[in-house]
Amino acid sequence: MDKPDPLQAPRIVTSIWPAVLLLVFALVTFVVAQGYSATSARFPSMVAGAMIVLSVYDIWSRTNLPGANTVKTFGGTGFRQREMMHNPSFANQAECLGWITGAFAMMAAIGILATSPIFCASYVRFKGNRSFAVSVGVGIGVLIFQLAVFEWALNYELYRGLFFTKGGVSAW
Amino acid sequence: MGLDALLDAFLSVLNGGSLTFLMAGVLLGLTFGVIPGLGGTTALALLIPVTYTLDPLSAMYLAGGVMGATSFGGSISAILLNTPGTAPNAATCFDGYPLARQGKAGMAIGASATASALGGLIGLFTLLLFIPVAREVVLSFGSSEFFLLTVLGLAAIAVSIKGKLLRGLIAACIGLLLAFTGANQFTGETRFTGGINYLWEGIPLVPALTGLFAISQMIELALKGGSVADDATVKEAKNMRIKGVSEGVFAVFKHWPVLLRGSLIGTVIGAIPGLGGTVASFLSYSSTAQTAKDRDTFGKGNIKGVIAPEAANNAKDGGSLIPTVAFGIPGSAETAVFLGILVLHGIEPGPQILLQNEREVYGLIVALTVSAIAASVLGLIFARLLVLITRIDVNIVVPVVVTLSLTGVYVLEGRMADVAVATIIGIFGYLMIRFDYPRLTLVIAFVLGEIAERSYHQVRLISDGNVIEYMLGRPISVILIIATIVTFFLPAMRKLPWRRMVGRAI
Repeated sequence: MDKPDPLQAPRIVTSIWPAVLLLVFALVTFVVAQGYSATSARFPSMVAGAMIVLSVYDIWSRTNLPGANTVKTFGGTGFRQREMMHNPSFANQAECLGWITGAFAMMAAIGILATSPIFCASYVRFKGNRSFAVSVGVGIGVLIFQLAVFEWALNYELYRGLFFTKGGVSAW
Repeated sequence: MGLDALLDAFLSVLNGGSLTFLMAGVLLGLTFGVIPGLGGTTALALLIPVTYTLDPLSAMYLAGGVMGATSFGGSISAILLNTPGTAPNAATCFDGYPLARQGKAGMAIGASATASALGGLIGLFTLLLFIPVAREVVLSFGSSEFFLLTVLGLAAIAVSIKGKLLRGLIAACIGLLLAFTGANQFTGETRFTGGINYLWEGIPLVPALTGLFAISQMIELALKGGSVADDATVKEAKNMRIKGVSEGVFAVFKHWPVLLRGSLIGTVIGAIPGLGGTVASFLSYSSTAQTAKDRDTFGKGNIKGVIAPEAANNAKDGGSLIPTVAFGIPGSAETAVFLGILVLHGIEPGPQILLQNEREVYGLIVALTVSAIAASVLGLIFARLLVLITRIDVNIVVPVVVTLSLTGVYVLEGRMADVAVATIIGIFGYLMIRFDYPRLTLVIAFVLGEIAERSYHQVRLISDGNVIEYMLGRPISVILIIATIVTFFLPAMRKLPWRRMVGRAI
């Protein structure tokens, strides 16, 4: 079986959907901007209007419609100079984004100081498949750094979490 | 006046405190430069909250230390591991690694260190020469020119990001729209806040930059996985004898035309917003290889193949500061984050930077000058140790950087909402990387959005609504309009059939 060309962009990247989403965003922004006074609406309307036109071109260049190749050539809409050349699976991406949002959720719930060692140790242990000792070591190292630099040296009080702080989300 | 500020900055460096910040920046820059996937932009994004507690000049020293050192850090892993630490160092691999395999690692690193330091100095010297000219130009600018300069800057960046013009412009539009969030400076009316009080002052810059350049980069790195270099490669590098450093140093002086050409290419390419170090180093390498008498030896361990890209890569730092300090238009992601640091210290981005913040501008130049030399010296001393850093597992780097970035964002204002913004923008930044929308144009538009809108409204007021007529009546504005139009048509002109025919005929 032939190896896939690394320069060949994945189908999901070249599909019309990212451009369609941006077109929707631009349309919504344009409509919302019309609700403001003339001065406040002027610049956002201009930019959103320009973005609508550009998004339509972007969508066009991703199709097989007549003229799409011309737009591709003159608009520079190829995918051979991508920043991200690897193609992770959807599950991998969801897992990774889950770790990041999980870290934030934990910081919000139990605070930054408690989350830092737990998040780092868990990530190293479960995502990195490193030994228990290495994971705990990384966790403790980060905790000591946070305590020494932020709490003691710079005298900041790191967030203690919704469970231990008065005011809830409104205090954010 | 400029000389006073320059002397003041030099004297300040002699003061122990400033030197400490500078050296801390250099060490951090070397470390982040050595590890592929991190780089100077991530290091600067991580540093932003730390600089908050410092005075503006000390912040410049810390940032300058990082900016001046990452390029050389990246060349160490390129030479010893055949893995470029930063993208521009890829050109150094071609001849650096073969030299290391021939037992001339010390010579290659010595040449790289010297070319980096001298290239950096030539670039900064050019910047110093350019500043008085730029000052005169900026003094003749009005609101119309400020507005058109922003448009030209964004157009130039979008066009120069090769193969991504349309998506670059779309990203710029998103950046501008994000910049419009919050209270309008002219009417006081709040826009796009969704009823969230936190957004009244707009989307904060630092959490946005941290999200775009630290969090999103970590997500991408996490998905790539593995360690930077495998144990066998690192073991091989560790056993390489780093000797003959002085031979490398002398080689740079022996091949001074290569150094000079590389530095000039780096400075010019760096001054064009959006092009950056990769284009500079590859252009310098290819032009040297094509014109050399011994061109057959390139790629097999020719020392000139190390000198040329490294000189260009470091000279571009001075060049990229020309549009940044002269016109307030950051030419690269690194200078955009650097502008974020300026904003944090109450300095407004835009063409007024040079007029109002001369002390900080010269402070940065001094920091970059000292950093270019210090990074080379420290890099030579710790080269073998720095290579060991690349053994570090990405799965350890990612959680540590994510945790420290989010903590840094929190301590800035003590607001958890900032952490939420950094996380959301981090995920958005990753999606931009994934779907190939350049983050550079977004962040530059985001930084310049406010000043662009204000300048535009001022022009409207001054011209009584006849914006176009007013602009066409001002010669500098006309030049900027023509430059913008030409910029937009450049990619199309490159592809015109008659141009190819002429090219073939020649």
